[in-house]
Amino acid sequence: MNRRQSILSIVGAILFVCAVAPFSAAPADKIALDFPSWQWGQPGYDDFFKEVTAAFVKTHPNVEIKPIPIPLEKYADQLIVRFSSGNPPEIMQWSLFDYHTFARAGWLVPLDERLRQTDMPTTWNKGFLSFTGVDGVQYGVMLSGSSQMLFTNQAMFKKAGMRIPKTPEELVDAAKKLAVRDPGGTVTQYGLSMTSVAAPELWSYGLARFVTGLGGGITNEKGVPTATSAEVKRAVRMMKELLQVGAIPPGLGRIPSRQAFWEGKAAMLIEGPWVMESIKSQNPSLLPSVELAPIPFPHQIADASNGLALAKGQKHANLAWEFIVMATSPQWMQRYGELTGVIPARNESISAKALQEKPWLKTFAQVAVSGRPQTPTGLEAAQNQVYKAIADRLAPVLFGNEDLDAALSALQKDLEGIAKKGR
Amino acid sequence: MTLRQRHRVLETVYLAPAVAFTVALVAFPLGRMVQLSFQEYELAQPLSRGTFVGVSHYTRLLEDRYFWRALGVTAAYTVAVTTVSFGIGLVTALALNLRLRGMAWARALLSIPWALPSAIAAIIWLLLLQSTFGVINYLLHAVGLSRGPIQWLLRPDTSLVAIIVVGIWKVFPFNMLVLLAGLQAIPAELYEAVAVDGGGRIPQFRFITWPALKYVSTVASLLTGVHAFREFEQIYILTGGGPARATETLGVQAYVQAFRFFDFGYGSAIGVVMLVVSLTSAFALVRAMRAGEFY
Repeated sequence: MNRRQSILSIVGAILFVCAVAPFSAAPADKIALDFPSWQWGQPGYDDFFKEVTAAFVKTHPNVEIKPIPIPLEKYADQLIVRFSSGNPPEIMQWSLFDYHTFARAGWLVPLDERLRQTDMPTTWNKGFLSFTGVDGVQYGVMLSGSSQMLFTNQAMFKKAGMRIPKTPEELVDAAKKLAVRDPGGTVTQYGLSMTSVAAPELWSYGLARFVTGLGGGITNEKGVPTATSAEVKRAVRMMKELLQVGAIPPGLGRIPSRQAFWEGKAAMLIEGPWVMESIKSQNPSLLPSVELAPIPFPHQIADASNGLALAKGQKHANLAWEFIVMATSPQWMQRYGELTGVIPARNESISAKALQEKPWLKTFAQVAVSGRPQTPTGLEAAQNQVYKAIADRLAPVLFGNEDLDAALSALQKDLEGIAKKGR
Repeated sequence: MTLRQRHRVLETVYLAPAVAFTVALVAFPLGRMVQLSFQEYELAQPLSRGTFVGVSHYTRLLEDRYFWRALGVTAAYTVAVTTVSFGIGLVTALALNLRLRGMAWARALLSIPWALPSAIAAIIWLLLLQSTFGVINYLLHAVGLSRGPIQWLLRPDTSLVAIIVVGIWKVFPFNMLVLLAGLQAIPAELYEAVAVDGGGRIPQFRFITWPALKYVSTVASLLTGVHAFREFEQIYILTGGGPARATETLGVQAYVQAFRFFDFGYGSAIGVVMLVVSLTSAFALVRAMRAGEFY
């Protein structure tokens, strides 16, 4: 390439960039609010976000909302990088796993003053409000909560002549009887599908269902670790027994364990209402066989899920707050329930239309009011450490031959260390 | 200004963007990591964030049994992956050097693991090794080699073996290609000379091939070793360091401390240890290359 050609190439490149730039960049007179979320692209949530952001932009013509899809596994990492570099998102979504950490890191703006000017303190689920309170200060507005129910495949139950279990003992018995083996001894149908990996999600999507249902927790109400409690011990024994007899498939993560149920490979599953949406989209032929029931334990389970917050250092806090108020208004919370099929955080937000299309929401909503949370009280900001410690100590018990009592004692010490550091 | 001085100025100007780029993307993050390793930087404790704590993270490392365990796991993983992948790479390179029909296809097929992104490779193996619905357990059961599902990634004894196998599978093609290039650079006359003296395949390998490959073998092994030492993505996707920390390498531990436990100071200290080990290996590599005694 000679000198003349080089100059022409450079000039050509500059002209191309100048020609394309006005179309790719945001118009200069518009305020851009970026909205990172792991729920962009997910059926239901994506529809809600698109509708509510379109409505917001309609009433704020000078605003543009930019969706930024990020996988849930990478979400906390990405936000940490953005906060650390002084570039927080304008519309900030949080999940129950990172909310307390971000609040304690000083990255979220206290909202009590703003909340007092709304009806939220009186119209929000009280359990959910207690989750968003950090040392008495509210930093977030919850969009939805989660409650758990027992999903059953009635075709499998009828074939085995079984009834829906109502107690932990009946659950164990049903899971064993519903596991089917072929003549070669390979399990072809599992009794109960649940998260069974040697990773932190072993607790939050697996063992915690049993422990919380039995009335226990990994900490008590005062935040004191209770790893050696009778409920934890009984829950681990139950899970190990079911794993050993092949009633629970080993090695399944959060999504594959749900998939095993909706693909007809397992007779039972303890999960939230979102699984119904997955069944509808992935295997609608299963729907007539699916029957929901309260989890067969003395206590039901309800927890926080996700919400919105204002980030410290963001440029357009007032606009972002207007968006939060709009998205959590009665009208939009009803729409949230209709589109996502999960429990809106605002009380009595499940519309007649939602109930007609998704009748199971009523029961899930009732459980959401009365259920116990499985998030460890007092250690919310150290959830990742707690769940890793649980997996590290209990996986060798569940999938190997380690002694349960020794593992629980070691776990208790780990948790006490985490709690001590946290205080 | 003399012509020589003008050239110097021009050289500096031309190099400046690359130097600025390197400083911004390599030197600054490394410097920041070293700085963080001497600071308290926990997200959940904003008041203490950024406080200078001297070498306390390093003394904590010395007392942390999980750090020593991770160092041991990293050493085992690095040694196993480096030696076995070199051995397989050498055997396959010798086979591919036979110049038989279809070798070009074989070379392309065998190079696929190296060409695959680590994350994709890990996800493929995650599905293959899955206890309940994985293909490997299905095949083992079908041919009668196992009675029940083997819990590859759920038990400490099998999970380390599993990640080492995946690590070897991923990097042996690199050794194979480097050694094949070395083999193809050996003049045919040398083999002919041994043949004239009555030497068969084994003397040819012993007196010609192996001495000629020593240089590329050293380079390939050191590069594989550094790669294995800092491996993170594959291991994190496959096991996350579990079960019971059986596969927790230093890379995984540094990530978990920083991005899961939000203790950036301690995570950075682990990163600095890894940096020192990697740099030492790199210096060894450069010295080995400069020694030039091989061929």
